Amino acid sequence: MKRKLIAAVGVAGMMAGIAACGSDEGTASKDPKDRKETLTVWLMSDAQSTWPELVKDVNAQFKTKYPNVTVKVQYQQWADKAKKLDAALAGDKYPDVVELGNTETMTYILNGALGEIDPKKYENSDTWIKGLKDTCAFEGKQYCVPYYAGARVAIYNKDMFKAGTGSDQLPTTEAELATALDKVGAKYGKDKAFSPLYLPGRYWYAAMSYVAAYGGQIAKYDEGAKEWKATLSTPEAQKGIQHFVDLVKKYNHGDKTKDEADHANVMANEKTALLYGNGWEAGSVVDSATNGNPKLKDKIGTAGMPGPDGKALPSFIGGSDLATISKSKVQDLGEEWIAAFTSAKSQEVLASKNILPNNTKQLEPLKAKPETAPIANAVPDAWFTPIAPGWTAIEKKETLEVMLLDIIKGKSVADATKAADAEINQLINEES
Amino acid sequence: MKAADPPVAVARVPERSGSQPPAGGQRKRRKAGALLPYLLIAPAFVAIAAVFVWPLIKTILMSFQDVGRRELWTGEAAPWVGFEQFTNILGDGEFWAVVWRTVIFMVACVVATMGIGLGISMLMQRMDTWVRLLLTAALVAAWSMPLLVATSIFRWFADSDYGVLNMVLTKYLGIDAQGHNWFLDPKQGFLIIGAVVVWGAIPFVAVTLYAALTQVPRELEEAAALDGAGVAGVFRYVTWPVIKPVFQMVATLSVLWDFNIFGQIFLIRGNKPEPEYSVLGIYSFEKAFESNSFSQGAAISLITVLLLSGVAVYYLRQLLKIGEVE
Amino acid sequence: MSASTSQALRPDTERGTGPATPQVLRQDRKKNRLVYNIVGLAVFVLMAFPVYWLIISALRPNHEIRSYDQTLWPSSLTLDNFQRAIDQPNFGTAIQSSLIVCGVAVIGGMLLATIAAFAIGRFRFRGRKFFMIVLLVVQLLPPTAMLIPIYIQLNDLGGLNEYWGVIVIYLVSTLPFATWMIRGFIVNIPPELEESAMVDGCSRMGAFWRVTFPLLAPGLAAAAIFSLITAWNEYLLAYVVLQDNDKYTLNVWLMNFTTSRGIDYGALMAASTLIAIPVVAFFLLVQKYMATGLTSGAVKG
Repeated sequence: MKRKLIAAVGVAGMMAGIAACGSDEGTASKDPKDRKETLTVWLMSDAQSTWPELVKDVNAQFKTKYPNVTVKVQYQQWADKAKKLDAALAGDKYPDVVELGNTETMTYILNGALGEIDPKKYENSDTWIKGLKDTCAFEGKQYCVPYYAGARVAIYNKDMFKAGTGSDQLPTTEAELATALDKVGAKYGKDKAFSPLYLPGRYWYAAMSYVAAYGGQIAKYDEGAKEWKATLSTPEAQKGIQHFVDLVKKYNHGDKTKDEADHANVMANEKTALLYGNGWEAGSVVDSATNGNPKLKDKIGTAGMPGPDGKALPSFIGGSDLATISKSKVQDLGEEWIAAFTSAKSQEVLASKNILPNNTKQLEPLKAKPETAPIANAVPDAWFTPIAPGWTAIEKKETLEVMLLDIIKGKSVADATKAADAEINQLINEES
Repeated sequence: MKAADPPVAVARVPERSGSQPPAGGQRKRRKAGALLPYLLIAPAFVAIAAVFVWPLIKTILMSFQDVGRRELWTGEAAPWVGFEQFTNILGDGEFWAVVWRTVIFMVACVVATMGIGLGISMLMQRMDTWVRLLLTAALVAAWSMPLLVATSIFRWFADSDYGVLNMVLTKYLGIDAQGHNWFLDPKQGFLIIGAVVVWGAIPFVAVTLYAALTQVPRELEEAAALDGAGVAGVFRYVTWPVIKPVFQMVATLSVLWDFNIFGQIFLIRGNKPEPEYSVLGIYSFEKAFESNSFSQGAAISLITVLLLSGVAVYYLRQLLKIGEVE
Repeated sequence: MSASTSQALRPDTERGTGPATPQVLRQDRKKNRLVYNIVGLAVFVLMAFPVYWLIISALRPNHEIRSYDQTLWPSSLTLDNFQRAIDQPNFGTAIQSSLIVCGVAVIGGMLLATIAAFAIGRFRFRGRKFFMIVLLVVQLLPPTAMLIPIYIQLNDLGGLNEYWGVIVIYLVSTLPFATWMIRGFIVNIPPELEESAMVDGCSRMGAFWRVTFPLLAPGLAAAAIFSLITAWNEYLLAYVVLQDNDKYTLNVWLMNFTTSRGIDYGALMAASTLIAIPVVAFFLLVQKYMATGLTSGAVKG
């Protein structure tokens, strides 16, 4: 295979301008100036809206080394990107480099769409965030490069907490938080639609965080039987789910059966004092370009979400990865482009926009910065969904959401988790 | 011609075998005339063939294979599985539940769309010009709204926490609907989705039928009315025979569209419709794209085509009958 | 709209209610007319309300769009949303793409549909039924499920990332309806009209273009509007087939307001308001033809 013959280059190979990459097709001996191909890159629209200068810089850098290579960056939209990629891979006009959400990668890896990469070629690959790195790995090989990470934190309205409790700091233990929420609820409770904590009932990422807090998990890999087994009906997981449902019932006074899509809107309308959401949602609450309420500027704070037993609530780790397409004729160029786009210098640009970098080394300084400390601190204990062949199918079937909805509607936790386990066991080992 | 037709006989002349030239009849002209219809349909036929025929054959082939993403992407040969995809689907209880749901929803939407659409088009004939212009403007504005936007707006209307619908019910009708989620009960949910679908389809139906109504000879209506035919009589004997071909076509299209409905449900349920909102369009999409079996998706499409061809055959027979019984 | 065309539609213009019509009938009609107008206005309100909501949302400060206290009129009007919509990259190229793609697809589609409709409406020939079945089958195919096979076909034809790839698909998918629609109108026009023109020395096609074609205006107008709106609002296929961002059509461009960080509803509403303008303008342009259908005079010959 071509990629196996690619010589390994040093960490900053590309920066140093060493043309050490190549393949058995003769590109190795070619001068970079003789390369005349086109490199097509699919990035999500976030790069266009939030860090366009990084894309520009990396392309300019690339141009100095490969003056005759055309880099075409095509921005994609989250809603239907998967369909477009599925179709494109079946034709002749597929991209060479593609950005994938970290929950999407497995489908593409299992079906042979992505090219293997050599982590050594990428800066800081030894400290890649585990939650991202694992989504790129299959049977000991690495198929994509972590791009950026995201974590969930408490997002709260400082003024409301100040008015209710006298302090604009979020309490650090769950017991204190409960008292504070009661006080805030008493203060603003005249409005029937006001929820001290807006925790929607179908928000399974939050529910699973409570499961993780009690030491439970969604499913476990059984080394002996070589298969995944659902573990939601274990006592730990049930305790976590019960805890989550109790919070929903007690503090969410809006529609309890929604998912988390309305988070920012509820807070922007001052109908809640506290959310458990993605770090960037704090920005959405006040940004008028995302339906936020600019009047709340400087009144929204983030903090670690207190969890059960006096510990912080473990967060789900989200994020994006970058991969090369295995069919691509310019895989080596793709890898170099990714290396430049995820270099320490590039990650610095993301960090400056309060976006979590792909490695723990560059995460450290963010822990000290007040705006980023809560998200940065949530990374080390973070959990991730089972990296199993059938996980995507389970997400599509909304097994967890249906389970939570059933419990909210009155089914017992024991029965609901048992039903969910049965469905998960049916799907999780089947490749999807 | 049927007995019901006489009043408009003038307007409903049978389609003729027009290849005979009216005068003369030299051989040359006849030959050219016989070729003419083929030349006329050739461009349309070629365009359709170029774009749809091979994909259709491909879909049929795919339904007898087991094509997943890997086969699609790498070009690896997909195994042939015979009728397995079809037996799997037809034997799946969920599939039949989906079919029933689709049929019921389709019938309700089509009846509502056609009824209201016809009513509006006839109303448009009878109202003052300025009212008609206002109404037409609203119809076209509604029609030109992108699906995503129209669905978002209806979704806000029906939202449990900030929707206008709940607000109106609570404030003005005294029903406590605050926080009521319309989508928990699929019956209520489909009512909202039906509203989006019908609202979105009415403009097409009304505008098209209105165009057809302009072909009804006014004198005949008036003459029939003076002869003592009631409103229903005039409609049945004068109006209906003229607009029938267009009405049937529009109705058939509504059946086809509402049967393949996808976008409205998908978008209103936040891109992840619950199982109880699964109709055929969504079901085949999920099978194809989300459970990685393009073959199953293909098989479902073909079954859908077969189910729909019942409607299609009826329509085609009607279509071919009109004007051909001399 | 000209006075003559509007009159053609009125049931009680001088054509119908001559001096012989009894006075009673006329008063009755006036009363009916009032009722029709009122019902018409009610329908107008119902149909227009979501449109009103679209426009008013586009003019509202963004955070009020999904506020908990819904009001019929915004607390303050702003053009910020329109500003953000226009500032979104590729707006200009998207307008251009949409105009090219939809213009060619609609004009081409109308042309092909008219001559095909003439063939199946006026001639009987071997294969006619088969052609009509083909037209029908094209409509039966579920569009989302056909996405991949159609994509592969375009790939083989070399139509990926090309305007013509999208144009051909739009043209073909609106063709069956347009053909039927126009055929429905042809069938209602007496062939005697063409025959008399042929006696006067016109060729078969000449007679069709000169005599029948002008009478097809309402059908053509309705079919053209249908084709235009279908093409204008199509999204998924255009998104999948067109790859360069500067080739995206308006509806694909519209999806830029949906990001992983939420939807910019204000800009989305403003952009859709802008996008709807050409369609409404086109309609206003052709709608007067919709009213100039078969006048009784033409039927009598």
